[in-house]
Amino acid sequence: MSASEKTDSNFGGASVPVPQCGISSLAPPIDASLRVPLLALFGGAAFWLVAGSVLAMIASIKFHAPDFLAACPWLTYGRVQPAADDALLYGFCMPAGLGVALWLFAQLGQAPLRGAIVPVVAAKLWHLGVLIGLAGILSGHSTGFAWLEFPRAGSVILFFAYLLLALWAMMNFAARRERALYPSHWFLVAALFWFPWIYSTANLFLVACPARGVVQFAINSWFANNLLFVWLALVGIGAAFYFLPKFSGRPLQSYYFALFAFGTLVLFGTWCGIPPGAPLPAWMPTLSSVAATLTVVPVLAVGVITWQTVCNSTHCEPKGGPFCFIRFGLASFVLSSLMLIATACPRISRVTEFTWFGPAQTQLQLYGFFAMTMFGAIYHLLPRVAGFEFPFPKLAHIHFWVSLLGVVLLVLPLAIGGVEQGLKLNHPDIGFMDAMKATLPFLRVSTIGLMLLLFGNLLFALNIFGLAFVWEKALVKKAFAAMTAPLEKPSASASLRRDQGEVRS
Amino acid sequence: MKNGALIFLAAFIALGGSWCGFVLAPQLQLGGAKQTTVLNSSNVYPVGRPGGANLGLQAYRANGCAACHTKQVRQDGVACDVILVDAGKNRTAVQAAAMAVNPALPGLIGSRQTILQHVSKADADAAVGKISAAGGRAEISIIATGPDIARGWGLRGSVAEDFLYDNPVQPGSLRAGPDLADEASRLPDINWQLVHLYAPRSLVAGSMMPPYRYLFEVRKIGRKPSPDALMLPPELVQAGREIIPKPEAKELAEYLLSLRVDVPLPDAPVTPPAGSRASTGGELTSSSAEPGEDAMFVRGRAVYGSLCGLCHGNDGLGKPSQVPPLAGSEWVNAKGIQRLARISLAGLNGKIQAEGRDWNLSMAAMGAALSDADLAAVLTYVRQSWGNQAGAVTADEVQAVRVAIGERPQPMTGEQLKSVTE
Repeated sequence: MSASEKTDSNFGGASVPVPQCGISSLAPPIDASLRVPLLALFGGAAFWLVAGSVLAMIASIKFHAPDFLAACPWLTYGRVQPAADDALLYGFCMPAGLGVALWLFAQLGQAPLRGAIVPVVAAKLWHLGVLIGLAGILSGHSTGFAWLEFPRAGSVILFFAYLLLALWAMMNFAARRERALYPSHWFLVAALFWFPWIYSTANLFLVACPARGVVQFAINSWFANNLLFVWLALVGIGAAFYFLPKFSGRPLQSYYFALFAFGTLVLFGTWCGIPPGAPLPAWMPTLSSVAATLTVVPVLAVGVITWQTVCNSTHCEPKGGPFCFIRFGLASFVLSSLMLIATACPRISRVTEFTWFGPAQTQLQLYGFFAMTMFGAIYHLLPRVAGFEFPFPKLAHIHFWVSLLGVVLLVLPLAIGGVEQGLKLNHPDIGFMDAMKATLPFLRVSTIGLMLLLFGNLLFALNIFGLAFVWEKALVKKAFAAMTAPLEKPSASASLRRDQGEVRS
Repeated sequence: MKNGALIFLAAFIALGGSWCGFVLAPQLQLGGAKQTTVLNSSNVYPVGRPGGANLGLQAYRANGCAACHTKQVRQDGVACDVILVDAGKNRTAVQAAAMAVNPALPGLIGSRQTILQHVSKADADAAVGKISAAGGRAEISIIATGPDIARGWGLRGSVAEDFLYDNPVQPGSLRAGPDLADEASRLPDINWQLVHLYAPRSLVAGSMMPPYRYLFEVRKIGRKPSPDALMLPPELVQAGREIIPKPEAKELAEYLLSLRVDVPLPDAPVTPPAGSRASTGGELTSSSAEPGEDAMFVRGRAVYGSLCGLCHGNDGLGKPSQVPPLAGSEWVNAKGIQRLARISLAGLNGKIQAEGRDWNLSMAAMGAALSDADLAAVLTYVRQSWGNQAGAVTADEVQAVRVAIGERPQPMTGEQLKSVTE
């Protein structure tokens, strides 16, 4: 925490003067060096976020009207649903997380990003990979493995784009001027290194040269858990541990406790994920259940750290700002992780396995925890990086309330409906159709939740695209002004050169 | 940089550990898995799927069937039934032994009578010991327990062996639709499967499954109707047009008809119902006749066990609110077999009344693929078991009904059946 206190003198939240127009020469050089890569990462992420929630809406409507778009093979439920999930995870969560990680490394280490052209290219590549992957799923070329549906062409591009981004982040980390390490460093460095390992393993042993039989199931479960639970937790918690003290005005409670949470999370969390009833040799689900029980430790540790850092907060910001997003995200993390741990308990799993409780948990993790944390981070950092205020700051606040309501209306009915469905399925005298019909009212409410999320995501995208548009307009204006300016004023062309250099890099 | 190296090391050890545990170890333990031998048999399991079904697995993957369907039957445990096979010479002694084991038994005991139901292995062994001490012979029948199995979704829980030939393995994680692990035993009629893919709601009222019409072609009927055309329920028939499944649809249906969880394995023991496909390695063979049973009745029991018993139960009692009972049913015990034979040859769809209750059914044409003699045998068995005492059925009678309803009958409705004289 000493590092964080030293590094950021410009963190007063709303009180920081942000220039209203023109390419900012006031933005600190560290922020300015990240401008183009972050706009590339977040711009694409905002697009996929909206695209993903449109796909999720289509999938959800099919439960109420199975004939909806049924003639179109590209939009059949079995393709749209995984495409929606992957658009959220690979399209939004991962690039947003990587962008925030890049910014955090630069901020914490007080080192500007060098060779920014490479992360820009990598960001474009990443989004190209997502495009190819989603087109692959929708055209029937999914690999068939949960959370690894992208066909080979898409996943190879994603892998190399990630390697480039991670490499640049690590180079920035190595070149940091502030040598002391902050807990966020631990989480983020581990996350950078986590993904290439699990993604290459999964693609190698499931897609390139597939293992035999249920070995695939074990590897798939291991991969999905390490990506959805561990990777997202590392990035999300890493970012939150930076923003919490900033916003609350209190140091992180405490440094060593945070390291303890990190250690136990990577140690136990990585073994979760094999469902208790899986048709695998019994030692695997058993080991996984034990690990899940132990994962209570880091989850509660994160909860306690958050609570102690946030309560007695001296900072007051308007409701619905970045601080709210991050607090909501951390609360969702604790809740969704506890749900995950509960489903690893054989007794509870007997009811919840194969029901809507699973998707409820996943959505709370992906959206309630990770996406919300990222929204908070992006709302905070993007104006500083771009040198502009968001064009519609009020919409950001509406976004918070709409998303909060959306997450509640999506997750709560699915979780309750899932338990109901599970109890009915465990009762063989209740017909299968009757058990399904009992879930329909819950699915209806969850569709409303998805609708709200789509609306909230549109507000987010509007702000991001608006900001990018204002920035580009200012860039053109300035270039035009410099071009039309009399030649004998050397200072103007010098500033143009500098600005263009920044843009390109 | 010391701390940076430490983070890297911590993360490396943690992830490396789980990699060894859940990637390397399963590969070492199961990566070279071979076929196993079926319990009490020399057959191997699993055998590869036929070509069409293998292609169908890819259609299953491409269309994301696993988003709504699991292929994992869950099993809670096993229970044992004790069945008296041979009462031996000293019937009274065996009778006394049986009564000592289960005082709730009716006075007289016959052959193939269940003496104890759903007891632990130890209790069952003890009972078998007592019976044989009295000079009789009893067998233990192992029954898997659990809601999935009670639903008729499989004979036992899914185990690793069941997935040996799947690539990709898609066990599924959500049951927005029923489990498909044992689909072939439940609904072995390919026309039912195809019509269900084309228009799920025409066969299962209130189904949430989207129709997969893009897997089918609507064509004008040429000079000769295509042999592949679907046999549709009346409301879907379009005059002058026929629905042809595309290769993908056919392969998908073939794949569904290759899904079975009915083979007893060393690590998943279960006793298949007498005469079922699983107990005989795929061939229907007649089990040994008991005194007073003729060959036709025995053959009927074998066919029943392999086709009908999964839903209607080996006790003929059906499943509450899902499958109507056959024991005591007015449809089964009718004077003639016109209605009963129509149900088994054409299938049954929609609302119907049986034993004073309303049912909403979607039964496939289970008997269509049987020979006249086999269908006659199974109908006879149904009409003369569990207290039913209707007349036997001959192959000629079955053939007459088959001719009457034509080659490609529509599933019957309750109304249509009522209009047929018994």
